[in-house]
Amino acid sequence: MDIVYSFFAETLKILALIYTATFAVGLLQDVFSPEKIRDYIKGKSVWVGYMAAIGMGIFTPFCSCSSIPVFLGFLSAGIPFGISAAFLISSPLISETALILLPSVPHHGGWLTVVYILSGTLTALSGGYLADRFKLESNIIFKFPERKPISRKQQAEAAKIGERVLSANLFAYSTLKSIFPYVLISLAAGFAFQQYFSTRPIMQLYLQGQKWWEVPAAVVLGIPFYANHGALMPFIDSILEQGVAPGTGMALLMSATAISLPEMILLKKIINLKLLVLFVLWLILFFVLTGYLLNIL
Amino acid sequence: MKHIEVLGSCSCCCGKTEKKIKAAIERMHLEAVVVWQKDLAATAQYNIMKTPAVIIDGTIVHEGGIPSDEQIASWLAE
Repeated sequence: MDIVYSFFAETLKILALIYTATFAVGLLQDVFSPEKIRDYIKGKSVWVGYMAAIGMGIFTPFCSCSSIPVFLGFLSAGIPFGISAAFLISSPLISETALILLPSVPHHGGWLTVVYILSGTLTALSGGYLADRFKLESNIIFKFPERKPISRKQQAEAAKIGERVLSANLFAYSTLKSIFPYVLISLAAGFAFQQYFSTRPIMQLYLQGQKWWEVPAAVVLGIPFYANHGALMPFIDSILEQGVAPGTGMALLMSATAISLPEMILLKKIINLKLLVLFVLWLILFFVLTGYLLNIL
Repeated sequence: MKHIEVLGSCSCCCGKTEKKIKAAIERMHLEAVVVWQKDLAATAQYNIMKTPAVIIDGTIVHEGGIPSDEQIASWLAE
């Protein structure tokens, strides 16, 4: 009975937090629209561009496939490759959902959140800087098509606050609806971990930061998974509660959210294999370093 | 007959949007052609940055996020 109550309470808590974060971002969709950010970045210094692109990546609720059209849109507008790449890295890696869920993870959630955001920002910033420094745009293979003019439905000018609230609610509700089954699966996986792993030797020997290969293994394990923060956090929360080392847990989270097969398949149509491999290796490097740092601190 | 295109590559958002539009067409007993354009060039040629995007008879009516049933019904009713 306790387990059922606990499961129910945890589900409600996660859904309420995801709703809150998504609703807040839904209210700000006009501010963080790709078109506005693109126009803002044009003509600014690259460092302003990097930070604006990363900021947009954090607060835009894209799944990792949806960030590709923004990446292409930036490139075709003449935004430097490094700035576009910084957005591409930060978009699936840091999200408003992560910002609201991470502080409540057990064992110094606030501190974990700060390190996670700093690490994600540094990963995107350094990746973007190096992409520009080494002129990696020469590895773009995508042939931009000729622009075709098209009409857009007239949007209401500056929607009233009531309409914005309704629209944000609709957005948050539809996000919750699509994510709900995965939250349940994630919670169930967390409970299963609690039942089957937390008291076994595997926990004491291999999951609490003692072995050098734990963090790299967590990163590799996360690669085949494709999940956003809302779906994954319940599981991460549970395994950290059971004593898994924070760096190991965060490395798994970063890898599962930022490296996904669907995104890689799409990216392969835009950049050549050499740059794609470099991109993935860069992410893996930073995730491993972040994991080690968190396990040491 | 309405010609509807759903633009975007991911099945989680864009595929769902296509299914919702087809379901609405059936509910409203309309005649329409729905095509899901997964190719990146399709979004790039119209400078679309938020997907899924929905184009009806040559006009972009929606960009970004899965549309609600009410939104879809309002597009189809026009």
